[in-house]
Amino acid sequence: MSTYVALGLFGTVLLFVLYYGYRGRRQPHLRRMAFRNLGKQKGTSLLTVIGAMVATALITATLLLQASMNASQEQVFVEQFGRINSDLPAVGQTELVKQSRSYFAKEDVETLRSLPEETYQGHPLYDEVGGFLPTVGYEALLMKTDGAGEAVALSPHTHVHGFDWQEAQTFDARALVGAPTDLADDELVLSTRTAERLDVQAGDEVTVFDAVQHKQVFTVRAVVPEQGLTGYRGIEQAQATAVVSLKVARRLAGVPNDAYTNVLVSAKESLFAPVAQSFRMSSSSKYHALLMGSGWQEEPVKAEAWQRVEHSLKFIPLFNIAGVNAILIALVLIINLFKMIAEERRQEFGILRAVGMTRRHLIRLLRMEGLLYALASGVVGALAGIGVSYLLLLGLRDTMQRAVAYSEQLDVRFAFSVDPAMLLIGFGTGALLVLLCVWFVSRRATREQIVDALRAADGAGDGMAQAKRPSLKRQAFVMVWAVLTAALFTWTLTDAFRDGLVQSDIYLLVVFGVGLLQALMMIVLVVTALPFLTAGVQALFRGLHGWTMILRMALRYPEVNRKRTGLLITMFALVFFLTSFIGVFLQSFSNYFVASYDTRAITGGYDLMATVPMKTWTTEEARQFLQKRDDAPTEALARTVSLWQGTAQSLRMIDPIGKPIYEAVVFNGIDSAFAETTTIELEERNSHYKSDREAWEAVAQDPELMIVTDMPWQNGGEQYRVGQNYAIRLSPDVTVRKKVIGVAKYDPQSYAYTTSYGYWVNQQALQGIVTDPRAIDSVLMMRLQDEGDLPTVAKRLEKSLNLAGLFQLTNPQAEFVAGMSFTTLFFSLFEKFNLLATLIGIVGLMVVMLRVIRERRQGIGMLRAIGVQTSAIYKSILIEGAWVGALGIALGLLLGSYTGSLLVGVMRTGMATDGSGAESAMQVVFPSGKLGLYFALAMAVTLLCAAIPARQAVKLSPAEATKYVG
Amino acid sequence: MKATEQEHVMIEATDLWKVYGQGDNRVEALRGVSLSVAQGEIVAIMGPSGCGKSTLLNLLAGIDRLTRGQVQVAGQDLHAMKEARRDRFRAERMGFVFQSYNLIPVLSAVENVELPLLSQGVAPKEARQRAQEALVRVGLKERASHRPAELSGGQHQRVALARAIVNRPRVIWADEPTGALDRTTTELVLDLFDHLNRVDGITFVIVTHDPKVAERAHRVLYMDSGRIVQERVPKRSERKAVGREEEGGRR
Repeated sequence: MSTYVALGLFGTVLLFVLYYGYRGRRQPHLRRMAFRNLGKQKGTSLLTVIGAMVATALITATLLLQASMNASQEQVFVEQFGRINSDLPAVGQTELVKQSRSYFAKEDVETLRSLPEETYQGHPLYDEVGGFLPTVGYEALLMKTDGAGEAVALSPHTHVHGFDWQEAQTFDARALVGAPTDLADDELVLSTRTAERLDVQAGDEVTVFDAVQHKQVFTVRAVVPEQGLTGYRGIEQAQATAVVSLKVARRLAGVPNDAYTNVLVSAKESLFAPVAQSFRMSSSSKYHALLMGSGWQEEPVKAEAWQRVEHSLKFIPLFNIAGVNAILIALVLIINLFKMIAEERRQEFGILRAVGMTRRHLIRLLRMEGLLYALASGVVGALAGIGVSYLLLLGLRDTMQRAVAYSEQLDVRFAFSVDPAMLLIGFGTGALLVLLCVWFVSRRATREQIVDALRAADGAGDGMAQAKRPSLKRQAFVMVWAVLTAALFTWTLTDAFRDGLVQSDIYLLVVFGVGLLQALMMIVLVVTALPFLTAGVQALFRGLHGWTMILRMALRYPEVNRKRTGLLITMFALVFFLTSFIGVFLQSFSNYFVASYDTRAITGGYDLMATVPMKTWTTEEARQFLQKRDDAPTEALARTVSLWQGTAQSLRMIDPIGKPIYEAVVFNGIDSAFAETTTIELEERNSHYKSDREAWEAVAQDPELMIVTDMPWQNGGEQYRVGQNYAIRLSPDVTVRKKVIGVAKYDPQSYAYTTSYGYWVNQQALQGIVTDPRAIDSVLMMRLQDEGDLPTVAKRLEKSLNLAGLFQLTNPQAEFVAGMSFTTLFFSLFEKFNLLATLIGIVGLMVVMLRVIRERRQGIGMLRAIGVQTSAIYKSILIEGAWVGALGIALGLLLGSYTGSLLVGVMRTGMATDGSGAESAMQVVFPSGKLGLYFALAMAVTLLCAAIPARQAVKLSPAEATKYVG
Repeated sequence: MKATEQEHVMIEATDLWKVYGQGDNRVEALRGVSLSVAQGEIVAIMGPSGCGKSTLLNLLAGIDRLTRGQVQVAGQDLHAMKEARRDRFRAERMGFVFQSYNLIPVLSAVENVELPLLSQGVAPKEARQRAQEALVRVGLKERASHRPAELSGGQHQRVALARAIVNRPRVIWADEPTGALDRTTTELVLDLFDHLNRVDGITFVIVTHDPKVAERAHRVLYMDSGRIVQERVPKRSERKAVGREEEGGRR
């Protein structure tokens, strides 16, 4: 898609070049004039190019940044999945449980292969399945040791797997390029990433812990790039990959001969389906449905990983808003610049018309010049965009990598890449923007009568310099405009506005749109009211005689040239509107999260959670396990509880052709230790129990009872009721019933922690529901003596658990901090990126002011001739620039902040309706310090940039006044 | 080219040189011009285009830099002054009238006129009063609040003249003051010059192409190729001078 857009935009620019190239050959005088006009005023031409270039650079940077991220994201799928689409784990398969098996046998693999043919012969979906590969894999700790056997480097969370090499060649030939096919029993192949972690190379020795934590030493036969099977991290989402022979894999994982732990499913290769996105073409979810119908459960690993990455990078498209903003600002700036150029050259146009040039010739001349500006700014802007996007990615890369790894367990390495299509889109958009503006301005500029154009220099032709006495019609328009602006403002203050928006799915967009509209209306009002503002400022400084003339000179020009001033104010206001909008929203949102986030409240009173897969440890066993480990920080733990967690296949429905449809449901098995300590509140409980604690105790003791979380979406949309007999249908013939004695409150913030919500039953009862013991994990829930020790305790515990072959330690506090720091960093980077757009405004102002000095050359010469001090002229130019900049910046900051507060208000109203009371933590917070700093910085840069034309003005000789140009 | 010795000298220029460029591009715009102008005298400078008239005026007024020479105005060496001091000197003692008027388009007539006063730090109230008086003197009282775009060419020049006299200058420099005006308006402006010269004793140095303007001067200097090549007293001025002498004799 992007390629077509790029070609379209580039093609359009090329058409312009060809057309005007042809015209230039036919009318060489126009071509010469166009080139010479640009060459004659090198300084202003350069500044015009810079103004237009900044916009192109921002647009290009936005596009390249997103393209780099997408490319990095796609690279993950090429490296870690290749053609692997889904994974069928043996653990938890209803069909195997029925036969009391936890592994696939050869027959099962054959069944899976023939299944779609048998049941859905001729079904188009079957054609999308490429192949099946049975594998044996587990998650292991790999270690590099020194001569004394001490660990010098660890690679925990490593997916070690083996498969039949010949079958693998058929499954995904590309994945095994460079990998040896004849691995000995003491050899393994490491992916480059695993080798990096262990700091080993081919020929080195590596120790691998098997499933029962025995050490086995292997020689690294080869280090291969990650490309599918050699980079696959398994369902457990490990962090590295190692490949051994099938026989060795069975030995390490403790799997019987001829058995498999997983079956990988690939998508068919297609010319139109790149490897990274093949799961989209293969409709993995549809295949998923096919399997579900047959009773087999698969994990669409690639699709899920894709969703996770998309989820963690969901903010990235926000940069588009900055890009659109840059385009808007650029439009305003470029129109302003070309209007000025046209204005400056009115007399020249008059002369050209008088000597026989037609309007069409003039338009062509202007457009040829515009094309030269467009090409120059497009090329330079696109190149500058590469630099900006590289710097942005450099700033974001590490945090994003950490955030994605933390929140989504995905190892994405964000690398910078230059997508030629995006580069062309950036160049094409920037160049076409310039051409569009020139197109618009050139028609208007050449419409003037010859005689009026010739009179341009005597001031009579300068319409803006005439004192306009507002007509009744104009006054009425201004009044109506003011009333409408006030009405819109008042409406946004009402409850009706907020209540109405809460119902809308697109309230963010609506609030933003209303805010922007309000800003634009205010700009029109301010520009209309400039004479009053000017008079007010002058009145303020009336006492300072020396300033009367300076202020009059400085403020009168913007007041009289309203269109120009309006466009400049709009430029600044747009930039700061978005910046302050994001600033207020981000600050309020961060404060809300920090204020409302309490790890212990979310996890039911715990600080750390460690998963022990496929083990059913009692709380006592868990405590003993930790006590026995010398390196475990047991002294820092106040309590440890073992909660069991298992996934059962619950029958959801029987489909129209009579096949049962199952869904995976997670159950938490609790004991008395959990019941005594959990802080999860019940919003409703059986009146038989005097307290929540009693109800939890009852569930821990009685296998017939259950507590559920208030999540109607898990109950077919119906509310759970105390006293209800909840039916768990394990098959069409087997149903287990539990009596609900309490309904726990659901906290959306606990979404990532499945031990904090769902279904709670007694641990023995869990074994009745999840009959495959390998499908039950123990989760060690730990509360610290002192929450302040969390970082050090978590670090020590993680190391200790890793050495014991346990890799899943969850630290909700760290995850929250990582998530928050990512969000904060992202938004603040977005703010900074947006502030880059300020450059357009400031450069624009500088270019306009420089051109203004050229316009007023004679007037300034006269002032110098009659004895006005250079310092006074300097100050007046400086104040003129600062005045326009300050008006735009202040308007943008005020209205952006107000719109940000509106959004927070609407969100607050939304929270109030769900009765959770969360709205009390959601308060509008104005980052006044930050916004003040932005204002000060922007004003400082504006003053610096205004100083350049001011300095140029004072350099003008008074003799300029005697040059007659009339 | 000197004022008579008994008259008080207002402007004294000695061996003025102005050279642009170097080597092959060297252009000598002025080549050793010397002249003096008495207080209350109206001097017209005439000559073909490019002869150095405007350059001479710019150097005499101190708004352009000399290559060599010396200019004294009211006994002060103009080019020896520092720039800020020279600016102040101009603001206090001189007025300017240009062919292209050079009014600030965004300011009204009265605001344009009061500019020199405000730049000297005169209180805004007083500046406004004096500016209005100046406009009255040039006959534009009713047009005080109009912006330049709403005034005719003659009115432009009268506003420029009001701006030139508002600071009660000793000298007014005029560069082609009537170049863009019709005959009637030219007469009107020249009458104003005469009036100001007679009543206030203001010295005028006028660069012009127009013989009719030169006729109203006390002395006409002709320039060619960067030099003053001729000097004459117009007949009308001769008659007036004789008249003044006779009048003086009768007294």
